[in-house]
Amino acid sequence: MSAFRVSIVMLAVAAGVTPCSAQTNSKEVMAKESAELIKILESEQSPLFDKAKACQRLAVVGDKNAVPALVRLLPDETLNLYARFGLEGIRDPAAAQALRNAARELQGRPLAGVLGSLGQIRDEESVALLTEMLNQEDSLIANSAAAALGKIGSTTAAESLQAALAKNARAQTAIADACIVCADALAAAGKNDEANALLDALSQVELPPHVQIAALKGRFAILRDDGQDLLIEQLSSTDDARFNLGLAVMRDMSAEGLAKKLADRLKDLSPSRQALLLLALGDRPEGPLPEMLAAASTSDSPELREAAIRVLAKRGDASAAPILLDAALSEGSFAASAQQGLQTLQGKAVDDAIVARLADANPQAKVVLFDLAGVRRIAAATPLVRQALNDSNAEVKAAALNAFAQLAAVNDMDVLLERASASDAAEAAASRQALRTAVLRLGDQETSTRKLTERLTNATPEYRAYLLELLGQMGGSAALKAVVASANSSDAATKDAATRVLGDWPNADAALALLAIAKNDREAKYQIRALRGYLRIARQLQLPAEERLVMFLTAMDVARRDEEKQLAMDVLTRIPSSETLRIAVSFLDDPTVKAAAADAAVKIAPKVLASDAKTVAAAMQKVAGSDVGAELVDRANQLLGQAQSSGR
Amino acid sequence: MSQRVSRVNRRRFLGTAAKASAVFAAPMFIPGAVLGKDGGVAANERIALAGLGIGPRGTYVLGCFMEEPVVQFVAIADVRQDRREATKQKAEAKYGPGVKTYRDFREMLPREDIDAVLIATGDRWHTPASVQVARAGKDIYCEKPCSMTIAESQSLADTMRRYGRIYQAGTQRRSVANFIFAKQLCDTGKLGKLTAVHANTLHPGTAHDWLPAQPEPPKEEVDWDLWLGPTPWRPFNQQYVNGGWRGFFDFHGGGILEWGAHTVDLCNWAGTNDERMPTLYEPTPSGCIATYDDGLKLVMRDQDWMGLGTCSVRYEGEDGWVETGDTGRLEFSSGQLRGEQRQFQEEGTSAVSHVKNFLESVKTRRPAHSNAEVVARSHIICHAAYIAWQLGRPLKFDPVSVEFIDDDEANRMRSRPLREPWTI
Repeated sequence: MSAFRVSIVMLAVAAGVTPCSAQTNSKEVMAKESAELIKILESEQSPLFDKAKACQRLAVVGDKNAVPALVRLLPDETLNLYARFGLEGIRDPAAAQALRNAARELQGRPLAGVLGSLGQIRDEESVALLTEMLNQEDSLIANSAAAALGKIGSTTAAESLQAALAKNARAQTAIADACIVCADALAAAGKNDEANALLDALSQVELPPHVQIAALKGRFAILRDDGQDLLIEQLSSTDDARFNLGLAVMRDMSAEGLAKKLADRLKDLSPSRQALLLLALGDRPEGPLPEMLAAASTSDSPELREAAIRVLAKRGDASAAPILLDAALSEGSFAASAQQGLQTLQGKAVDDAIVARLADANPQAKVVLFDLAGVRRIAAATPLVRQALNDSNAEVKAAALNAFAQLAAVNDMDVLLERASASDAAEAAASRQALRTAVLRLGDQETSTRKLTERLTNATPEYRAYLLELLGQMGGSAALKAVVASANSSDAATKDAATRVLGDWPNADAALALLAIAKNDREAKYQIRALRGYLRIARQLQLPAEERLVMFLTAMDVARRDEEKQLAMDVLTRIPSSETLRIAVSFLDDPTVKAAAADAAVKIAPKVLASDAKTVAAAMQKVAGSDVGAELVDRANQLLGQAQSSGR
Repeated sequence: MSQRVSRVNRRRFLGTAAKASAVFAAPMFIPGAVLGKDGGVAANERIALAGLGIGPRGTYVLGCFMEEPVVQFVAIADVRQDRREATKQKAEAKYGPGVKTYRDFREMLPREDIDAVLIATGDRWHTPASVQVARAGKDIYCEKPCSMTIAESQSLADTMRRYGRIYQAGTQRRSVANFIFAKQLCDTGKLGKLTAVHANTLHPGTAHDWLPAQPEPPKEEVDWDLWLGPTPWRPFNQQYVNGGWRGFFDFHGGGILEWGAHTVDLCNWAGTNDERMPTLYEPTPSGCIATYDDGLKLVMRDQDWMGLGTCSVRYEGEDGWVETGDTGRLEFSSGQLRGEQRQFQEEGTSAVSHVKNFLESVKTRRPAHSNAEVVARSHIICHAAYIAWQLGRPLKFDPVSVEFIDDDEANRMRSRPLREPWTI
């Protein structure tokens, strides 16, 4: 066992912490006033847990009077951090002074923690102290001091860091990181020369490449638009990390004319780098030069061509459509990017170009063009799409059907309804998917519903089940009426399908119909299904609290099986209040639902605790005294403790 | 808890944002020199990835990485022996022997062959580990939430900027199509002038309690000191290590942050293009309503959603609204808006597109969708909301100075000290 662990165990024993007991009185401790919290810290009898929580509360409410008590805890490895919660929060010079004093006395982890706090509060008066610590051999202390100096970010902190950089090899990386943080702070304060000097110092020592890159990035942040030459230097570097830095920097640099400056350089780069550079230029407000883009879009290099296509798709206007269409219809690796770009490129001329290409397209091209017509909702393509619904090429036919789903008007539904009832299973399945897409997209719900409902009568059972499911997905009062009628059908298959659809109805409108089936149907299977559907609405859908409560009470009244009664208890957790807590607890005497009632009660209780601790206490007392399993009893006892302490 | 948060950020925080344009399922851009003749990726051109703290979510995200030919997983650091071994086994099944394990990630970071690190530890480690990894010159994909405090959020963004690292937070919904589509409805004015954005959050509360002390396992099995890392000491209990650390203040930023890291982030993206933060925070019993200086509301609430899946968001404008969630489905205020609808396949929990975006950023050096600057802003909003909720009073906030106005207690809650030797 480490010394650290020994000290914790000893402290715990001394403080009277029993190793197996949970500490659940945090609310009691944290409700105390500042003076009482200080007393907890000062008392040798106070348990470790109480001291820890008192510190965390003092972080929010403590003042300088708490400083002495908090400082006394700093040497303790367990409570050091808790004490620092308090001390970092107190905005009084006394807290900073106490931390500085403590740093002179401490060592090891507690000292490292205190140094961290001095950095966190950006205590400029501790720079001299931290400079001493920076040169300690213990790298834990040197690293902590460096980080603190970096955060303080003052001129003197920078001087200390710069001086230590070459001297302390063991902490050099930490010091370098602190230099980067410090330089950032100096630049933010307008001290660009000092920031630059600090970053320059980093380039004078041997550091990991990524640290040098970070220092370079810091310089770009200071130089801003004046960093163009430095940028070109990075983009010309053979080092990938520097080139990558250049890509990131050029996206942020606001200088105009950068593309022109880079044009010559571009030619000398490998195709991969040219592609990456083009993409980065594409993200800049001015974009790449048109000639640069044009050359890249016809390049022999697939990756450069792909980059050009992406930039065109992102930035281009309708005039880019021919280039993108050529690429989209090609077999190049960039075809997918071009197709994706054409999905979003704005302009009627793009639509026209797509329709024009359809006129003499081969089957492969038609697949792509129909897809684009559908995604872009190009109404002018509808006649061609409709014509292709019976194309002899299966892929063209499938693409046309998908596009038709996106383009069909309500009057086109009949075409899809016919095809959806086809005897060919594959055709029916594809058409049903298309019909579903079209119906859910179409705004004219009334006509859509009427057309679907008209087909119900003469449909095969299997097709009828599909139509009912679709009506359920659409929702609306007319659809509900049709499905309810089917749910009362004498045909078993129809009834089965319709009751399933009702059980998944997208809103609460189906509640009354489900309740009627639950109460009146002759078959238990449908009663149960309907009641569970009713409970789904009560548990999951949007309802006023009063309505939800009525549904709970109704469900408990109607339910014939324990399973549904237990499920109903969950409804109460959606409407947490003193009333629903009392209702949940009233079911603890019912052996069939007591566990579910207890579960609901412990879920409601935390949400009522702040407003009605008395009811929570009474409820949890009853849960804790019930035979509902150890886990629920434990939770109830925890909540009981909280309720009792809240009530004090 | 100090008033002295980063001064650098005060100047830069509302400066030019590192905006990343999101697109629908774009193919990844990999420079051609990276590709071998067979379309595979030459070994010396692969992105060498290491893992840090790989639990259940990390295992899933790592799986997404390992699906990409450009990735080579080379090392795992975890304080838990069983997780080190499980990750090594999974990776070696794909890449063959040679995946090295580390208990202490500080021993792994000096390796020059590692390009990027996947961080999927508990929340307490996200900022400190990201800072350490950036200082070691690696790029980072880090699970959310990214920070425990306002000060950590600032430090995270500052460090990534200083070191020029690519950082992707695991707020993957920025790369998932239905959420992008909903944002585009805002951008294109289809909803009219935005009046409110709603973020699905969880109940905010956390506890300051400790679980009962249990005997500490051997360090090689679970390194408890390193598990605690920058957070205050408390006695060991296996429940924490098994994932039961959530809900404890020292380890967890509360329910607003838990989902708000995703949903508040999406709302700030949709509502302000990542450029602003609210200036007023008014707590509600289970969330917070924040208001931007132009009157736009950001409503953080845990109930009354339309059942479109976890992590739902809702954007309301003068001309209509849209709501969507992790199922990929959308609801609209009108038939006309419904006509805009597209079908989306990828669920909100999927990290596939987000991982691709990160890898492309590593190659192109373009900021990733969830880069540190934008997620720092959304996390600060979550932290500010939670502080208002804890104090139970409205708070005014200055987004430029990143300070609460005339509220000393709130300002003290912007940071927490880190246990030595950790610094950010």
